[in-house]
Amino acid sequence: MNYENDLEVEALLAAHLNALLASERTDSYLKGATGEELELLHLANRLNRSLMSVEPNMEFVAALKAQFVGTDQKTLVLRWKAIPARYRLAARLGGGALTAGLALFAGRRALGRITGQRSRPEPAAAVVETTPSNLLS
Amino acid sequence: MGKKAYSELEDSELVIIAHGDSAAFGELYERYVKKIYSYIYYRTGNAHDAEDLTSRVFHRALVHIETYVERGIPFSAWLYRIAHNLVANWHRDRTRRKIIPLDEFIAAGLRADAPEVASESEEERQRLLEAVRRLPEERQQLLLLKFVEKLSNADVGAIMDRSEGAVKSLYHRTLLALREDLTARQAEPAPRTERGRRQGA
Repeated sequence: MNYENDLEVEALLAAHLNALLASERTDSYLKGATGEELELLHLANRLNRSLMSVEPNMEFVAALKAQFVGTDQKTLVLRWKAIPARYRLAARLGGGALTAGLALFAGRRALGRITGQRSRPEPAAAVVETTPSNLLS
Repeated sequence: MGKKAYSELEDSELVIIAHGDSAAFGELYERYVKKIYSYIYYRTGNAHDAEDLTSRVFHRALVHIETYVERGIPFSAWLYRIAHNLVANWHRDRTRRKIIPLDEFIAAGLRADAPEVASESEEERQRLLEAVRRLPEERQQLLLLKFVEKLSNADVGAIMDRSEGAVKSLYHRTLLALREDLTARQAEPAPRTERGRRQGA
């Protein structure tokens, strides 16, 4: 059978793939195809044999599930989400205010140190008293 | 509501319950963890990274499950999209792509109901899998969603944000590209497998 355009070939390949994935016989598709279409159908058969589902390690699956479904049936994320919205907002505002306060405190201390260093007087030079006796000697 | 009742619910119902109940999320996890792992395994080529990324997919899903409802796509498609994005980031973070070790595929078990498997040599299968991994990302994704995950064109379209017609067209073009790649490399000597190296040693 000759397929006049891409749409026909696409329809053939799609039907063949559906049959493959449903574990149905695909002989009829192969018999009716020639040339490039036949090559593509054979390639699809090879893919179907080579690309198979891979099972994860069951210990990994169980351990990961335990992270979501703990013994107390609540993860941290879900516990957070279970809190009423107004409490969550209050917690966020409180946390933000605390962070801002700490930042302000630390900033002021740092600024104080810098300005303190700048305004500190230079060490006093030795003062030589100029008395008439000094001048003479 | 007990776990047995959860197993009878649709994904969309479980998602709503999962907003505040980890057992409902656990049911969704049970339904999809193997599929997501399998998809990621083929995209990364090793079990360690597949486990790491699978873990991240479900953590991200848990954190963002409330935003899922607005998207209007099946929950499974949403999970695959998360997986796809994480795998894409994973590839971006790495300059080289690892080759899927053939032994791991054998360990995963061949399909008992496919006698043709025995007739196809290991090297032929290895060559085909390597050719798949040389395809552009979206074409690899399509082949895995169809052949490994066995999803319908509608589901694949939802995951890849394409129409069913576009999925069919992409499948056609992917097979053509794969055939071209295999033909071009046919003359090259086949790579030796891990098993072959061990036997030869």
